[in-house]
Formats: sequence, C-alpha cells, structure tokens
Amino acid sequence: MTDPARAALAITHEPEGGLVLVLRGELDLAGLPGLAPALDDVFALPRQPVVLALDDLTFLDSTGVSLLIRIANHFGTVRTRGAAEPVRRVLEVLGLAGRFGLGEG
Amino acid sequence: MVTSAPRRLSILVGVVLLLITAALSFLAWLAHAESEENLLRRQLAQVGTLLGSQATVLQVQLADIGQVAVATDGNPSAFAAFADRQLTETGQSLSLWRVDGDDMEQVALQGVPPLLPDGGADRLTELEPDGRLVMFGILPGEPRRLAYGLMPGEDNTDFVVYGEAPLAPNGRVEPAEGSPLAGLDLGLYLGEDAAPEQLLQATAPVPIEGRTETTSVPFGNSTLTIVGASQGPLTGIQSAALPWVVLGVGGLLALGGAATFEFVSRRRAEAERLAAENDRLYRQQRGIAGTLQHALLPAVPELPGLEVAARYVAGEDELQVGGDWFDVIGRGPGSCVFVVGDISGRGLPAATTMAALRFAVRAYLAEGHTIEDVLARLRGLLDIETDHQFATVLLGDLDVPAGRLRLVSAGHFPPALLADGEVMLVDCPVGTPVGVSPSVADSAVTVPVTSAATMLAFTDGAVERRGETIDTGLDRLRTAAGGVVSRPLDGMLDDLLGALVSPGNKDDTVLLGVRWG
Repeated sequence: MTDPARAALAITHEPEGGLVLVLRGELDLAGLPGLAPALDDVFALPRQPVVLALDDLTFLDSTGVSLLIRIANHFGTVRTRGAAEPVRRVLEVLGLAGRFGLGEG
Repeated sequence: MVTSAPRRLSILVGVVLLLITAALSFLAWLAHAESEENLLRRQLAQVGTLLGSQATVLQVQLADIGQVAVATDGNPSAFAAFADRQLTETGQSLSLWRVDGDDMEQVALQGVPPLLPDGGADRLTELEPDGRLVMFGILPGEPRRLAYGLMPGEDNTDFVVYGEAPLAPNGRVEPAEGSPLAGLDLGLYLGEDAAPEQLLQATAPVPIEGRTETTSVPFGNSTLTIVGASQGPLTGIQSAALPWVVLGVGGLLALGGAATFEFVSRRRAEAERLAAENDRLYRQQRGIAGTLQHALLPAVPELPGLEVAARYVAGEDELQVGGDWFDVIGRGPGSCVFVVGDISGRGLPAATTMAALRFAVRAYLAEGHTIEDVLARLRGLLDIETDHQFATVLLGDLDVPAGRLRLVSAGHFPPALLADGEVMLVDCPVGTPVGVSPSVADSAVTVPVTSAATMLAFTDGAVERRGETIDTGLDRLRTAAGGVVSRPLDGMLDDLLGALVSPGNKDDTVLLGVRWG
C-alpha cells in the first residue's frame, strides 16, 4: 500500500551555504513512511532559516501539510520556492501562506 | 469451513495418488504375470522338445534291433547282445517276435517277460512295416508299464520288436539337479489330454496345482501331453516383488503427497484466516471511529427563523474515517453560531480530537465568548508538535435580524453565500489551522447578509480532487450551487453532493446549509 518512491526528501545547500530541503513526489499518508529516515536527519539539524524547494512536489494533503508545519516550526524562518499552483493553493487556503513565506504568491 | 475444505482436498489428493499407485501396481503385476506365463510356456516347449526327442531315440533303438534281427534272420543271441545294451533299468522288457500269417511267435526275450496289451500278442499284427514307433498304451500292474512296438521298415520283413517300460508308482520321479525338468511341477500324460490313468511321469503330486500351462508333442504314433507349473517366480524375485514394491512406495508417496498438500493448504488457510481477521479488525476500527463520529455529529436543530440542513459523507475505499465535523447552536430567532471543521489525519485519533473540539466550542460559547475568543481558546487545546494533528475550523456567527454574518477561519474554506440567484464565496482572512501557532491574532470579518439567502459551508472533500488545484474545485462548487439555488434546502444539498462528490472519493465531506428569509 505504501510506496516508498512516492515521496522523497533531500537536504542540500545554496551556493552561499543556506539550507535547502528539496521535496519531491506526492506528500500524503502513503508517501510519508518513505521519508522517515530523511526526516530524522532533518530534525537533527539546528534551528536556522530554511528554504523549501517544492518544484517537483505534485501533491499535498493534510498529512503532508502537517509535515511542512513541523518542519517550519523546527527551523523557525521558512521560505518556499517553486511551489506549483495546486500545492501553493493548499497552503493558502489553510492560512499558511505567511507561515511559509508565500506572501506575494 | 476454512479448515475442512483443505482436508477434503487433501484426502482427494491422497485417494487419487493411491488410485494411480494401485493402477501402476496392477500393471506391474500384469507385466509380471505376462512374463511368468511366457516363460513357463517357453520352458514347457523345451521340455516337450526334449521328451519328444526321447521318443525318436527309442524309435531309433528299436529300429536298430529290428535291423539286426532282419540281418541275422532272428538270431536270438544277436538280439540278446543288442537288446541288453538298451535295458538300462530293472523291470524293462524287450522281446523279438516273428509274424507268421495271423500268428505271432516270440523269438527272443531280454529282461522281464512281457505283460502284452489287452488282446495279447495278436495286437502286434497291427504293426505296419514302416519303422515307426507305435504306443500300445499303459498296461495295468505293479508297476504299470508303458507298452510300445516297432516293425522295421524293410521289404519282406516279418519281425516285430516289442518293449515294455515300468512306470514309477503315481508316476513320481525326482528330476536330477540341472535337468530341464528341475524347477517345474510337471505331469506327463500319454494321449491328447491329462487323464489321470494316462499319467506317465510326474515331478509333483497330480493333478498339477497352481498357474499351469499345457503343451503336447508327438510321441511315436501317439501324443505326449505335458502339464506344467512353475515352483517359484521364473522371472526372479524382483519381478514378483515389483507390484508390491510399487504398491508400497506409491502408497507412501500418496500419503506423503496428501500430507504435504494438507500442510500447504492449512498454511494457506491460516494465512487467509489471518488476512480476513486483519481486515475485520480494520473494519471494526473504522466501525468504531465511524460510529463515534456519527454519534458526535449533531442532529440538525430546529431553529426559529432559520432552516438548517447538513450532510456528512464518509470517504470511500479508506478503512479509516476522517475527522470532519459541524455544529449549529441556536442564539435566538434568526440567529445562530455554526462551526465546520476538519481534523488532519484519520481514524480514532481524529474522531476523538473532533469530539474534544466540538464540545469545547459549545462550552466556550456557553461562557459567552465571541467566535474569535472561542478560536483563540481552541488553539490552546491542540498542538501539532505533541498531538501530531491540526484542525481547520470555520466559526460563523449569523444574525439575520441584524443583517450580518461574522466569520473567523483557522485554515478553513470560507462559506458560500447564495442570494438573488448568485453564488459568492465570502472573502475571509484565513489564519493558521488550530494546532499551528499563529503569526498574527485571529480577526473576524463581518459580511452583510440580505433578508433572504442561503449560506453553504463545507469541508475539503467537496472541493479537493487529486490532480487539480483547489480553485478548480471551488469553481465547480460555485457552478453546481448556482444550478440548484432555487431548490428546497435538503434537495439542494443532495444535488450538490451528487455533483461534487465523485464515486470513490477518498475524503470525508461535510455540507452545512443555513437558509433564511
């Protein structure tokens, strides 16, 4: 039922050193178990500004939103880039646009 | 039910294998019997050839004696010298006779005196001068004797050679080791059939018992009938044992096969039972959560001046229910507070959190708090970091006499207002969901309402579909609502559900309608 390949999470850095989390695939209940090992690494990182790169994130449900919120809470300051319209709108209707730095759309 | 079916099948498998074994065993037995029969027949043919040739040897011996008699004109001493060599055992009789017209005259005798066949010496006149051995039959006496004679095949001969050989009591003889007769139960009879009084020799008690074969060979002018049976398996012990070996091994294999089948079947039945049990447990849990959720969702209240209707549809194909909920609390004529919410996650945790929030809303309202204050207090009840859940909540305070609707949203869709044939999604600031710390304080928006309108609040199941943006779903809702705006409230909600919730929709859906005017 759970397909580990549904979702993926990678920890990378900007050229100037800023932390970037790249999320891919479908972030829902079925996709979440596959992310568990990567998430342990993510939550082991110290609090710092983070950029969420969502260019290849194709689906986001309430479970995925929960994960994004916990990531945002962990790092404090969050910016989001590359979010496709469906993903961006999910965050907006949940009143989370500000929380994820999606202010200007 | 699950365990008896494989047992029946296992027995069937065992029986089928046993039947196959029995068939193979029978075939092996047939092959064995067939080869036994063939071998016995072949052995009897050899015995027949051997005994038949003895008749030829006897004929040659008598003919030789006859030749000597003709040559010496019946010289008794010449006869004696020749005949003596032929008499190898006691009790034998060999005599030379001269034919004189119809009378027979004994010329010479070697051995015991002849008994002569029934009819006396005159019987010897039946002989023709052809040099052929003629059997006169078995003569009664102690011992019985086989009588035979020959007339040399010479022109103008008048001599006859006549012999009698004693037969063993009951014909019993013990064949020498290595003799072709050894290993067989044989009965030799003079004549065409195995008549007891015609018994010449036997190597076993007569009549011969067992699986017998019969053959016959020419014996002088008569016939020698040979009845034989093998004393043991001619084809060897392996051949005789083969059917039993096949039966034994096959039987064991059949039992093993049935046992293996039974084992595998039981394993599978057990696995199926466990799978069914797991499925049942899942459904039961969904049943508990679903029952709890339905129990916690309120009956739609009768409110003065307001018409209220609601629909809750559980998502399909999911074993766990979601945490959608709604509530309506009357506040006097034409006035109410309503709430629509959605707990993230599924199953029992979502259902229990939903219950906690629903009753908290009622409690805070009873204390006289505004909807903003109620929401602020709800935020203290849930924290995503500890509860791993968040909730979207829409709180509305409708006061038709005052002509206003106040709304506050924590991550939830604003309602739609249907008035004058138009559908409008209320523009409402959306705060973070309950469970997520807000960046700014929640603020309510106030919307003016006309004297006659319908408000429609909903959860994400009504507008979200995988693979499309929420805006597409919201447009669909707007269009669908526009088409049913004149319908009675209950019918309107049913139509909307039909238009918005596709079969197989995985998410829970709540539609709450409030109509006035």
